[in-house]
Amino acid sequence: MEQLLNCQNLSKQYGYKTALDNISLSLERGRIIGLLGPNGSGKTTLIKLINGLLAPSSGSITVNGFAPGPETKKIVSYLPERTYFNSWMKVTDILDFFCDFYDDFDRKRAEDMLHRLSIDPNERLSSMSKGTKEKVQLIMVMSRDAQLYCLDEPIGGVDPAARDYILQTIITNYNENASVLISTHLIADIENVLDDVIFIENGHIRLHASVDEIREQERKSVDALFREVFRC
Amino acid sequence: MLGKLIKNEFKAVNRLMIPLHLGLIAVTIIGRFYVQLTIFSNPARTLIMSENIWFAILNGTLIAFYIMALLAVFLITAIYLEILRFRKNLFTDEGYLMHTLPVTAAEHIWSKLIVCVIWTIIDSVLVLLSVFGLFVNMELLRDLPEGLSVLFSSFPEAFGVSAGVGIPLYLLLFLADSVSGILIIYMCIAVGHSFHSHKILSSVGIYVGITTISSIAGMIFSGITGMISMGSMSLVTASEVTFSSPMTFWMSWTFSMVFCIVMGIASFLLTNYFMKKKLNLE
Repeated sequence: MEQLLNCQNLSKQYGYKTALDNISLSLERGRIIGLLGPNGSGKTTLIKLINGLLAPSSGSITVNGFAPGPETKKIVSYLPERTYFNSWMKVTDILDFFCDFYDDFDRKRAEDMLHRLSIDPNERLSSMSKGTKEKVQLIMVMSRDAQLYCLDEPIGGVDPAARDYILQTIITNYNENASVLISTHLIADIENVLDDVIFIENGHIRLHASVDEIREQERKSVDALFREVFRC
Repeated sequence: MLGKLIKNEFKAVNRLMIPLHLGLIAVTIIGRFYVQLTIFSNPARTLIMSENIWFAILNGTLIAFYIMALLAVFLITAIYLEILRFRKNLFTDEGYLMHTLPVTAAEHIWSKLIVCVIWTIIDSVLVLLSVFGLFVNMELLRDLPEGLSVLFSSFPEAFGVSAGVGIPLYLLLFLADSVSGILIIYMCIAVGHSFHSHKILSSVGIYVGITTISSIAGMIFSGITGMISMGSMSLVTASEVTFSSPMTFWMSWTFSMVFCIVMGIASFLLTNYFMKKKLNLE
């Protein structure tokens, strides 16, 4: 089967600043991958390139064999690091919107999760707190049966109780053909759900390994290794 | 997918467009009552009113207010639909949602363009009806057929062709000019926002550049042919041309139409290219 994600010599410059420098990377199916790195290391840039929100300066990127476009957007579910829904929309409007455009959207699943987190579907986003908005976004994104989930800082603004529920949802919702790419610097919180980690620094990949390998070879947790590698 | 985009686009813009145009209708109805009660109902009172300075000031103020309201509705519709909506929905935070939908860039452009054109037509019709509705009375209606026949019969003299041919063709040209005008704005926004910084400034700069170049092209053309023709502007200026013959009409109309179509298609293709290949949401 085709590799899920494949980057070849991928670079992205913003003006004179290099955000990603000649990255080659491939991701397999059925993994939960942590994209870990300090602020400004290129995590968000990589995720935006996967989703076609940025054009690469050089190199190529393919998802399921296709360059980012309508074919890949059908199978990639993306959670940006910002709130991106119209604030005048009600939750039901967003449910309708996702049903309209994504064939793989499971409305029932989304409604169950909203209910579980006590979010009123008739509430407008403008009257919600930042954390609640983030929960709504994450619920929408995780209610798709996508093949690749790209979650950019999914748990940053959410309380620890909801964080556990959300991580649980991430683990239970994806199937063996799908992978989840999570960018974060809250490593300790998600370490237990990760299969693989990618350490990224100044646009370079420092390490791409499975969590088991790290534990066996380095005899320390991912969190501890991260603190050692990126010591200031 | 295009149908769904259009449906959701209407849902979003109707939130502003419907109240705005209901407001226009309300202002027209209130104004009509005022006109009916003060001017049309009693000619004697009209005479008194025209001589009293306070009534004159009041009427002047109300007319100024009405014209401003009319202009405001027209400008808000144009600026919101042609510039703000396109930019905000596709090139700011909302773009993160729109550009991760499984639709093509061309479908985004078509959906925005179609909704924009439909609302622009509704807006133009309502503005015309408002002016008509405010001042129409029995006398005007009685004189209307005669006035129209004078207008139609003098049409060939001014434009070189009969009204039955000229008016539909000018309406078609007006529509083509509006559509290509919208596409030029979309293109400027799409190109300007592919830059790393100064996105809005670049968009405006490109627009100024394009309009300057196209008006120079128009001037050169009119210099060569001795005709004045620039998009729908030929509608206004053609009447000044002293030798109105069918030939000048057809040449000016054809040039304007070809110019609109070329500009429109080029803008569409550039917008599509920049949204597809040069998207730069930061």
